[in-house]
Amino acid sequence: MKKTIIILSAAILALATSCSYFLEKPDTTGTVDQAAVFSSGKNAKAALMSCYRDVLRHGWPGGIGIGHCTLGAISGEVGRGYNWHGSYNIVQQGLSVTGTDGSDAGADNYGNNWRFIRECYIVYENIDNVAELSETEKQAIKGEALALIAYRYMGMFYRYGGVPKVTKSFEASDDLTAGRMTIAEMVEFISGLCDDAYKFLPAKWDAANTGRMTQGAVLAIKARTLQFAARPLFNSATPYLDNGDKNNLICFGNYDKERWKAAIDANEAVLTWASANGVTLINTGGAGEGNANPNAFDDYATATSVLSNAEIILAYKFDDNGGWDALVNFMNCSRYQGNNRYDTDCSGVLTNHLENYWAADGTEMSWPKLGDTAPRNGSDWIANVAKIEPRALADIKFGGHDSRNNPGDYYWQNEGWNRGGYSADKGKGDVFPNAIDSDKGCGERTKFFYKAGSRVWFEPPLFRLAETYLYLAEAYNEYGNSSKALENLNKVHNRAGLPKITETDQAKLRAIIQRECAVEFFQEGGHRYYDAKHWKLENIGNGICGGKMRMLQFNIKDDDAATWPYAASWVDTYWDAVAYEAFWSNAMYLEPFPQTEVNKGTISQNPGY
Amino acid sequence: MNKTLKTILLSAVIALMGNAGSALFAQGTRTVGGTVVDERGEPLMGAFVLQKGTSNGVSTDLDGKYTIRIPSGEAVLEFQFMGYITETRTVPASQARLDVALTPDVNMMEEVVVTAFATQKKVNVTGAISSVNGSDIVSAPVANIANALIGNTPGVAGLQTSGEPGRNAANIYVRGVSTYGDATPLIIIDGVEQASEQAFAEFNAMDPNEIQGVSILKDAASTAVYGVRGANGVIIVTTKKGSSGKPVINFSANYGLTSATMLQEGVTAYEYALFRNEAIRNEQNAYPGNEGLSSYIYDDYDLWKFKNNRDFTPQEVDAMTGLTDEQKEKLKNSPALYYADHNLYKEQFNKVAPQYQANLNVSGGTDRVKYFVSFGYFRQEGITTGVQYYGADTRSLFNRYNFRSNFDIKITDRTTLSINSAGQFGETTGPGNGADVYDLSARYKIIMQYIYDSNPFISPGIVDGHLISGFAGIAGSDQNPLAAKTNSTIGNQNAVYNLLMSGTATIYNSLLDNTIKLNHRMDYLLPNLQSHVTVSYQDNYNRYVKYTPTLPSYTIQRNASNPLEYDFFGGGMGAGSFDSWGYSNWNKLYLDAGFDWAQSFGDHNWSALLLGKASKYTMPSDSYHVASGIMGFVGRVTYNYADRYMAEFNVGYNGTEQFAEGRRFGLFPAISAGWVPTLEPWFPKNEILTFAKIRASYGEVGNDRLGASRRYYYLPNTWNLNQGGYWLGNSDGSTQNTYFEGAKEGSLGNPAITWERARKYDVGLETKFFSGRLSADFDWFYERRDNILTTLGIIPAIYGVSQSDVPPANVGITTNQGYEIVLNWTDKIGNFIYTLGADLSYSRNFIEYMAEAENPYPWMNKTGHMIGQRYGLTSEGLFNTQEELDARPYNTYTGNQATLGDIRYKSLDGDDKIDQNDVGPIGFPNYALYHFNFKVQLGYKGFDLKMLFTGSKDGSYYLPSGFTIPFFKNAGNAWKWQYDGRWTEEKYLAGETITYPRAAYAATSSHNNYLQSDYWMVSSDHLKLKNIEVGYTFDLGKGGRNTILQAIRVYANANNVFTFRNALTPYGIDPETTDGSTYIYPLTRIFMAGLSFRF
Repeated sequence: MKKTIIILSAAILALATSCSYFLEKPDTTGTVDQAAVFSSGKNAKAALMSCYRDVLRHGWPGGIGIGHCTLGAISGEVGRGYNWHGSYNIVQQGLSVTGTDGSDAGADNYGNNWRFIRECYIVYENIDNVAELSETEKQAIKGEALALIAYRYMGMFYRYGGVPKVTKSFEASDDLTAGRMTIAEMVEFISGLCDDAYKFLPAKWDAANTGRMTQGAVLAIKARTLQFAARPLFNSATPYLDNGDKNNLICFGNYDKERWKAAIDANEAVLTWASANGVTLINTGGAGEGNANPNAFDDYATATSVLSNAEIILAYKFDDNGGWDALVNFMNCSRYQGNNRYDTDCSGVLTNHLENYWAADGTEMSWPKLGDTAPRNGSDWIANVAKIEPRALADIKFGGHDSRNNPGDYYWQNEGWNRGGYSADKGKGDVFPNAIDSDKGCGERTKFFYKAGSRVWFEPPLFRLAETYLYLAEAYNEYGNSSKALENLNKVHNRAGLPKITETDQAKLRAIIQRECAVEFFQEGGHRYYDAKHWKLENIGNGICGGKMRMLQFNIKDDDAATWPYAASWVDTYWDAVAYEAFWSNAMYLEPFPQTEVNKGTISQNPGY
Repeated sequence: MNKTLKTILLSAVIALMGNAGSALFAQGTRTVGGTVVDERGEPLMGAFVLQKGTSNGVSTDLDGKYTIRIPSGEAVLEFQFMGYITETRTVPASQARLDVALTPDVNMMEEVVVTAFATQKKVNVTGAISSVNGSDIVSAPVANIANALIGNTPGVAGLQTSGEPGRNAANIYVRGVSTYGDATPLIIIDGVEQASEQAFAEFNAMDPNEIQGVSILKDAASTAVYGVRGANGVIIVTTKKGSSGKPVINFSANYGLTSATMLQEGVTAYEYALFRNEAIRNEQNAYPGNEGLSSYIYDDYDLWKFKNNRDFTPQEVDAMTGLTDEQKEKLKNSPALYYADHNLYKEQFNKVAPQYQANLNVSGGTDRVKYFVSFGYFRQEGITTGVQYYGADTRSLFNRYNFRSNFDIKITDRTTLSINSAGQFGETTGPGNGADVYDLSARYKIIMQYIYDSNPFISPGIVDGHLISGFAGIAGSDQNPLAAKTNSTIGNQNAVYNLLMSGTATIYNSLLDNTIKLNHRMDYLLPNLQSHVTVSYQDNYNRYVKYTPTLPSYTIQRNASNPLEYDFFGGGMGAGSFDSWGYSNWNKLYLDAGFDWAQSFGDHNWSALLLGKASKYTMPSDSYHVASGIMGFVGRVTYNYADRYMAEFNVGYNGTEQFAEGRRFGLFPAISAGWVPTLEPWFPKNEILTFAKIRASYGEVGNDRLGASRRYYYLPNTWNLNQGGYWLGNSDGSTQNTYFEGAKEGSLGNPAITWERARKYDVGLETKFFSGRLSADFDWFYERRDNILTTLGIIPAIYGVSQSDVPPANVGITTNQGYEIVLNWTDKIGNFIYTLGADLSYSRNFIEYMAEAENPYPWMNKTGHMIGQRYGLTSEGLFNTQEELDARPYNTYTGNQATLGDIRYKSLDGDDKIDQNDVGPIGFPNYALYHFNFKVQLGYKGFDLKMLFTGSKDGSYYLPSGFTIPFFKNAGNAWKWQYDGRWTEEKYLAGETITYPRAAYAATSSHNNYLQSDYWMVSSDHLKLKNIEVGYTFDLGKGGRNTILQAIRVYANANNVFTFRNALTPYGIDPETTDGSTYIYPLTRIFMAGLSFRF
């Protein structure tokens, strides 16, 4: 018996000792942990590059929550997309707390903001561990990380109002129950991040490092933050909807004119930095202050399209030439049958936006109106396109016309890719006054692709000096200084080849400045989407974010010689028609938080959701 | 492979035949005969008469008579019959006749059950174990063992995702689903644990003729020894072994046909046109701005043509010039090309395909060597076989060769060696089309998408031997009159064309399983102490190849001048293409070694088991795969007193590589006890209650399967290099700027990760009444699962880690409880033997905690509801009147678009809008709560009949949008049930039954009517005649006749025979189908006829 026990025990012991080896995870190469990443300069910089890639996409396709859309599709710039596009759903039913088409709520991916901020904090917190980087480099990288965090917070600020304050990369065991900051705390926090980043950053990078955060970029972040802080949505005694005892999460609770002064100072600081660092509003016409720029088309097109041009404060240098990225697929209409037809096909330019453009001589355009008793003649269409201001020609490939941006390039011609690209059909005269087609409108977007030819990628401008001038115009006007307002406004207005504005009535000038922004920043990030809400535009639910969305309709002559894609000369008649109606409710001034996030009990939902 | 196997098979048969009977009849012999009867004097057919200590034995015939040749001199005979106590009698040298009456074994003293690492007498079992005989598995002519188990044992049920040959295994669960983690049971084949990564690979490809029996281990007492892998129940398969005696050769072959059990019924072309016109008019009446849709209305001429299957009206024909009167008459009778009527679903699936099965097995042995050798062949063809064109292979095909040899060799008196070798060689072929061969839903989407996306007339299929890809004429012209009207955004898609052009993808699979067991009696140390070692190696190799033919295809039109003639354009043909998609293989090594001991001290019976085991699974073909390992120790002590009082203690101590060092091992104990009051001396002997046993168990078992998506959760953090990066520089766009790689944080781990733990309670009662004729067993169970690995839904987003990368934690809690009732009545009236059986299983689970953030309303939570519960809006019928429509709450999902005949939803929170707060539980989970079976078995002389009815209750099937939305993408298909059941104002006013909302045109899943709601939840409650088998046996060896061929049996059997009308019948869906996909290869029924021979 004893012997038995000894044998048994020995056998079991033998088995037991082999256990740890047997169950050990074999050493597999290729897995690295955080310590390993921040022990190498190359890998640490790689972590920073991921931050740039992720953070700066905010507001552009692929950087918003919705899988298929530009924010212009939900703010009256372009059509709503296919019925499986997220924008279509939002147009149909408004922003919702459960999200649509990839967003976790509203038009954003709330969680992504925090993921990207975490990435930046990890770089900020660990860069000092990288022995092989110089102290200067480490300082700069810290500044970049803070600037990127500020950029993302700025985005959340105008989307949501107050959001929780995060000052580090969390451990799972940390207290994660932070509630939302007030609007005032948000402004203070973002400004603080900007001020800290400013101390670490160089004024400008050398050519090889162009694209990295500079002092100018953080000044611009701060300036935009203060601009939105001064605008009516937040700078108000009462919020857009009552939020009970949490009104301070969505507005200041008072109107303070000095907030405009803060915005002026911040934007003037950007100008000061710009003039010291060669960043300038591109105006090559030499017509002099206050006069219309004869080179308007090229200058505006250059400023918005040419990479690393003199007007850029910060661009999103995403040069992926794969041709499948959302940025390309939603912004570049050139390869119609190539690869992006399903992303751009139903995104025709709306009449709602078209009406913002001036005629090239500074007068009002005359477009067909709803309720016209008869459609207009095709010749009127050609005449109108000939008459419109240069920015429109750079922004839009008008129906039946070739793009002015890339003359002679098949990618951008009316014939190109057999696209057509406007709401035209043959022999449909009797459809008047209804819509023949509610997708394609008066034409396709061509902005950002001046002289791009077959290059499908581009570098979205995130801050362009034109913004600073228009912000100053707005802020001075609100602060009661119409002459400074006009001076700044006309910089941009004249550059566009238009005669100077002289209006001094504050309300009228405000409307003109707002119109200038709508034109200058067409499709540029989410400018229009955020601006319209923060200005609390009176008609926001009636033709901007909500209400009747209109598209020009083109009836083609019933002639066998007219073949698709129809040239403009075949347009028999054209008219304006309601393409669809978009949903608007006042809750939509700010985005909803995901219901799943609100359920966790640490943050409160914005009112109305 | 085919040829090699045949050679092996043939030579094995010859070798075995050569040995047959050589040992017998060597000396002088004599004959003894007699009759074996039961306790009532009725003859017992098939009782076994054995010369004790030899392999010499015979069976009794129909009249209970036997004749056995035995050596001259005194001999000892044993009389055995299932369910009766074995009698041993000495026959003096002079005696030539011996009649024996057997007494029933009411206490099941002889009946044994295979349990974990042991075979136990059933009377002593204290755990909840049910078993299935090999013969019941053979009776179900299905390809997979999992499917054959369904209905044959309580507590096991499943659903099937596909009816395609080679891919039609059911997903089975033991006692339902107890976790929202992985609920797959553990499979054991001949004592060897199957890898959890390949749980069913060998199991489902076994030949049923190899199987002796299957045990289902359900409670903690029976599964605790499997420790960290036992929580989801254990299924033990035992293969047949040889017994000493002359070789017994069985050969069986059967042939049969399979067809779909249910088919979805499409509308006719005429109905389609009417339905679509109605849909367009509905849109126009309800919403402004739809004037343009008028151009898609089929006019009266179109309708006439659809209805009469003609392309031209008589008036149109009469108006044609250039045709003779004879031609005109012919044209008037010519069936439509453009206005034709195809039932696409049926054209693809309404075919009959063959199935064959053959098995040859030989068993026998001597004192030293016992053997069982089996060769099997199985072939099942798919029901799309009927579509043929230019040799394109559209069928699905499953071919399988099975080989198994089990040898038990007595090396010394103390040592035996068992060598089990098995091989499974499968070939699974089916339409391929480039999809991942293992991704069923993607494959079926390719095969079936155009059945849903096109309509009865858009694709002519094969015309006069030409495969048609579309109409040649310009849309809108006389040569293509419907394309423009039909407004298809998909284009001229064609289901048959797509099926034919999809190519043929084949997976060749071979699985070899070799197991060696060495058993050594160590009575020199301790009486009855045995030691044993098992080594098993499984190797599986898969290879996929695909052949895509190029087929001539044509566009077609009626000749413009003579419409009686068809013009075909095209027909070019290139070379076919052959793709090899490489191979994959996996292998698994399993080892165990242990000791067992059993000893009786008077009425005190003790036994003990101690064992260590380990297994390692690797995928050498995958360079990213890291081998997974699991190991454990098993301990068991059993005690019983005079078979009356039983107690057992089982323990598993297991470790897996899933957890951090120091946390790898867990202890899983279970205790159980039983009492047999009927064996108590004080219990009155009576004819009514002849046996009763009460048993109870409690224990803890684990589950280390933490979900398939990730391994090594315990590693703290990982970073991924070479991620998407960024560009820096001041390029003007003529070239890209300099690219810099990115690096990102990956998954975060939780070093504290551990196994899921199940605490299981079971109480059982086993009874027999009327001398064992009636048996009634009852089990109640309760299980509480905790430590379920859960993604924390309560971590705020500011943590900054995506849900899939957040370290999961063992926090989930579920419960599952239910019962099983089994009733069985067996009796015989003269030669008529019959058994009636019924069983019922119920299991209901409940999520107690899953770290879910609290929703505004309790009905929105998963917590508090069942696993697999579906959520959706609650419907309240349709909007029948304008008043109802006007009073509706604002629907935020649709921008409040709704019209008469649309589904009306209920606001659960009582506010005046339909939003996410109104999404609550709808229906039951897909896997039903109740499963029940009825069994009938009859035997009369040579006749036998077996019938199995199965059914379920409280399960639901959700109709996916592909089923419910007609005219998808403008020109998609529509179903008969939609057309017949649709709402119209007239039908409403006439009080007709309405089962479908009003016709809607080009709707999407965000349309009011197709939001996820209970309107599309259909009960899957059903009753099925699942299996039936009828046979007749010619007993040629009757009366000891010395023939080589002992018996011939002729039989017919069938599976999925008949499903009684149920709620899913109108949709053409088999109630045992897994829901969730639009693309379903229909489940099949099988009718077989066969012959078997016993030599």
